[in-house]
Amino acid sequence: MRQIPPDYTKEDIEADHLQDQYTLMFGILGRRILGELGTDGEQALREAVRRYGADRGLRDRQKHLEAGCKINMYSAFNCGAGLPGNKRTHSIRFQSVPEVHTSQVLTCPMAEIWDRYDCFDIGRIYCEEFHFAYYNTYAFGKAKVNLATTLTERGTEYCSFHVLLNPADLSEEEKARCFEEYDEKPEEADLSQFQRISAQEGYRFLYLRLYYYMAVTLQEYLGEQGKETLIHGLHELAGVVRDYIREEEQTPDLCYLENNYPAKMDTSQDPNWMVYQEGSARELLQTEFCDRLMKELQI
Amino acid sequence: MYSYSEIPFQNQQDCLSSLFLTLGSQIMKVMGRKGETVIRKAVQKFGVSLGEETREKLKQEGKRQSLKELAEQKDLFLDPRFRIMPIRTRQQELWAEVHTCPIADYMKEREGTGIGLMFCEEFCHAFFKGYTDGKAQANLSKVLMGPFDNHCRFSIYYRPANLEADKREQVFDQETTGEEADLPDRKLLHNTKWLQKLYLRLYASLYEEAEALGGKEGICAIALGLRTLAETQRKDLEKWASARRMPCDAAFIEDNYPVQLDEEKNVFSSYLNKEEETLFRENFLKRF
Repeated sequence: MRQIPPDYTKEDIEADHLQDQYTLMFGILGRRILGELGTDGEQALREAVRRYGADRGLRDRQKHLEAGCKINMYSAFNCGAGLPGNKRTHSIRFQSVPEVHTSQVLTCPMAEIWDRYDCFDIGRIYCEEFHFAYYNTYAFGKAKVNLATTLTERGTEYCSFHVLLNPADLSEEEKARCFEEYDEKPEEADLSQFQRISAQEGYRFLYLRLYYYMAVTLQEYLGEQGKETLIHGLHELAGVVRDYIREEEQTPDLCYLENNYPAKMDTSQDPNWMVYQEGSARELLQTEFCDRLMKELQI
Repeated sequence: MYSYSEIPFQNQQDCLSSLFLTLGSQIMKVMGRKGETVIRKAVQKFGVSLGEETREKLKQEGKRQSLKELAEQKDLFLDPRFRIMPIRTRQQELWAEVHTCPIADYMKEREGTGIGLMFCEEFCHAFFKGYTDGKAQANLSKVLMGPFDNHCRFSIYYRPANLEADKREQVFDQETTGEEADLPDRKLLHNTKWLQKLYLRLYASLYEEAEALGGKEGICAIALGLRTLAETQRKDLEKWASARRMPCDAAFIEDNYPVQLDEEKNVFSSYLNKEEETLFRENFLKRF
């Protein structure tokens, strides 16, 4: 069992577990996909991450528009709608204004988990594809994303973000939506909508979508072979998660899973699945992972 | 750098930096906020076309077109004042740091980093978009031209998995894994014809975008810029010649200015259309 920092609350511990499991899901499934399907599998995996990034970018943009936020780099990095917070990620910010955000991420628990579980190169794929898709979709396809170093590369010491959105690249309508100085009647943004969500709620929705797009693109690109690999991956994941949980909790029960695992064990109880229904993704997660995990943990 | 043989190459590079700064400044002055769109789009088009041509050239030479083949090219121009540290030079990954940049130095001395940043922010992405048909990812997270950084950091990624299966073999040698980068090695690349191409093509791109977005006003901005440029570059050449106790004559200009002005060589028609050439002659050459 890892050491818990002295200032940690029960919620902090749960948030760490949730993030680790979300990260691990991608790493273990991704490793299986590349191992069994080679470059074709990698193609599907990269596309999955891009779709996931685009999904998140689109939703966050919509949330910001509804709240009256301008769609720019200041909003993207400061106005909520992002990842649930966690104490293990440390960063330094150099500038964060509407046209440019420059910062470095100095520690990243996701990179550490991928390294610990021997899927560092899978994490690399995530970093490479996700941020481009997310910020570009968020900013009407017009952001310039620069992420020249990441902690998912050996020998680098920080992730280096330099993300730009320039009015010169935008249409007149986009300019007004992105920058106050181009809007004849700018509204006051209602930031109260962006209360910090619970780690359970946040990571559950992230996990669902990332897994979903992996399941869908695998089958879309590789048919039955992709589906078989997904099933193998889910079986492997169940074993890895079982071991992780047993390290952390002597007698895990359903309540423990509800608070520490980012997927409901009865997936039919999660209303977020209503929008994500292709490729039997939910059913496969249920039968090949959730049911297995419950059995392995004797719950 | 600054050796007998290298100084002319440095001067030629400064002429290119001067072209971009002078025309860019005039465009901003005349066209206001629209001017930035002109400059950025000009650099984007310039970068994309250069990238596409580079890829086609490698294809015609019977070479693959991964990042490794790009890095191995020798018939380019690189100002000796650049200090570049290659970190990774592989088919799929090209990482490098730039520790000194004569373009950034030029712009900083003349309070031109705002214009300079437009080039840095646009060119890298545009070039690799053209070189890889939009399939590679270009990252420039640290920029010497900017206020925070003491180096540029480029990381380019080009993945076989992001290409269709039938294109992968054309671009990548999939039998071998990528090789580690060589030790940092400063090569003297002095193909001045390449720099001449950059100079005239950049001018043409600025002209075309200024006209497209600004019509006559845009063309006038370019014309005003060329007149200022003629004065600036004439003074620079005289200063450089004087510093070396040489006459600023045709021979000196031929070595220290990036465009061949000998009419017999007729370089303009290779890179400029009729209107662009006329404007250049009337507003720059006549005064230069």
